[in-house]
Amino acid sequence: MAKVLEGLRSKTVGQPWFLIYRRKSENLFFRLLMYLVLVNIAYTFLYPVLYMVSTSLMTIEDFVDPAVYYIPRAPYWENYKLAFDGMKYDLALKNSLIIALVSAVGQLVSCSMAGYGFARSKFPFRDLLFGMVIFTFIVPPQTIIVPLFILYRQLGWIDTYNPFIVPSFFAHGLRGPLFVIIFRQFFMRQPWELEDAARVDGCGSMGIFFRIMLPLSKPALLVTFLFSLVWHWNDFYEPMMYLMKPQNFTVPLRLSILQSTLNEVTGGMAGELFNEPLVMAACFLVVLPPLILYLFAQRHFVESIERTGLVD
Amino acid sequence: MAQVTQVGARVASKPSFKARFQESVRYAKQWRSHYVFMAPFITLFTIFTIIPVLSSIYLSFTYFNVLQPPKWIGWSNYALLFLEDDIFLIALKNTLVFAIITGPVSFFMQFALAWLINSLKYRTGYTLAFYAPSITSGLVMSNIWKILFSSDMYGYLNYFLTRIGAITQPVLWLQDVDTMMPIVILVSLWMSMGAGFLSFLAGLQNMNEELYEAGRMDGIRNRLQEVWYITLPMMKPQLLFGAVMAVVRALEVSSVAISLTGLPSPLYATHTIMTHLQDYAFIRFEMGYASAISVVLFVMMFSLSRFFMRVLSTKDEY
Repeated sequence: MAKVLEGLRSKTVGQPWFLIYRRKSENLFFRLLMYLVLVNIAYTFLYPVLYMVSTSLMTIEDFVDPAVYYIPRAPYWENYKLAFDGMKYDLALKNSLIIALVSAVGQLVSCSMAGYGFARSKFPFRDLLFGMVIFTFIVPPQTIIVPLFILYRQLGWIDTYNPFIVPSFFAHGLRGPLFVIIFRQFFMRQPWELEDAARVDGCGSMGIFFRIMLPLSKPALLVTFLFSLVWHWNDFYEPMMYLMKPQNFTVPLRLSILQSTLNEVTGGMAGELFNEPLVMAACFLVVLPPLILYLFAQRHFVESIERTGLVD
Repeated sequence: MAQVTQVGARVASKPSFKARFQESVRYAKQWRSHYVFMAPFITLFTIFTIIPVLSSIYLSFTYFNVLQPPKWIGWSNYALLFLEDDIFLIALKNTLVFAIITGPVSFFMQFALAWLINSLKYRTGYTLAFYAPSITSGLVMSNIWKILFSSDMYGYLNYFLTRIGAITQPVLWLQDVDTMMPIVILVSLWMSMGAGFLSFLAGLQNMNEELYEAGRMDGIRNRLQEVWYITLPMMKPQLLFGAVMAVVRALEVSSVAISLTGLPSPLYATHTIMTHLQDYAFIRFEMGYASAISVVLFVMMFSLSRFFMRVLSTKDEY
């Protein structure tokens, strides 16, 4: 026994206790501490979300009553009904889904092609062009919004979905350059031998891309699709610029005009109905679809990023 | 003779313009089928990026208020911007402060949390908790932050601090010049566990356990050494991606700042270059001046993108 202790001590001499080399399940105390700290951090991160959910189920009386802490006296579902009507959720959901889904598919097709082009071909000014891709990735959309707005107005695209959908079919749109970069890095890691073999077998460039490279790039496609979907859903700035009529509004835009729509729906007496619990319910309705998507796809999220390698 | 060989050597090391031109023509022919892949990108790139950038540069030399056609006024927008606009300097300072704090802190936080939860059970639960804020929209969540930091006694933080006796009267969190910037930084840190965090986690899960074993044999004695000598070098690609994302996110503060503290914020305490741009473009409709601000931003972004270009091209095969 003494020998064992002596051995342990000689291994760990001169080290503070928390740095002593132990992998995985060795030190129970250390692990307990770790769990405690992480549960605390996780709670801090989730706190606003939990607060939103619990408040959304309160009546206004519960909300202002300091005795009611976290759990409402009785769940009050009326908030959700009002929020649903006040945001015209079914209509807004349809608009948001059209923009997000179509744009995500467009970016999937076009960004993978552009990424493949950057990774595999050599043509004049390739590096200059790629530099410009990175430039567009970093430049915030706000900086070119003025000329873009003028351009779209001349094209008659204001109050249509074209400003979101058309650029995304041409490897632009919301963070399109990022996806081009992701695909480029992914294709650059793939072995040349596959393509050479296909070329020997008589496959053209298009055939190689669609029959060999694209099936290989499923993880990258999945990552792109999920990120694109969520980012388009949450985007507020560009829809705010390009959509004017309320019937075209996306869900986040609807939230910003909740009060006036509610007045309209309930016939002017909604000033008293408009309160924090109702806003919380509306907020929850906005963030719910991406959360559900993440819950279903979360295994694929991390796994695919792992296999995409992202930047390599 | 010696001279000739010298010239020959120079030609060999740096081909003449004609040779380079011929070579690129050859490449262009050889890879012509690949232009199909690039075509959609290049066409629209011209329409949606190059033309707006160029017209921004043109507008920055004009006075343009949307209603009347632009009027050429030369450099005076720039002179005004750099010499007389004190608020622009405040905005520049705020942007830098914000980027310098949130960039590194969020980067470190993402790596530290990914590293901590990687070796634990219930990893997916923690991932969900940390990742959830960043898939919610910042604007939506700012509604909740507004209630939490509300200035009356119902504000959660005020209520809590009063109850434990730390303050005697409510603090105006989102109106006080001293607390506004820290709160905006806090909220954006809260939302920063996004794509970078996931890629760190993926990189950590991909680590080869045998490397740790080997490192232990070679005398690695504690976890910090393990991270420094094995994990970090192996994760260089993910770390670079995370750094790029952190910088890009740091520049996108304006929407959170505007929705929390308003536009323009009290005493311009959270005024960034982006909010300055929005102020002039969509509140005062001085498009020429706003374009001058964007051109300044382009120049900043351009140098940044050259840096990223180098980083991303390190493993370029050609």
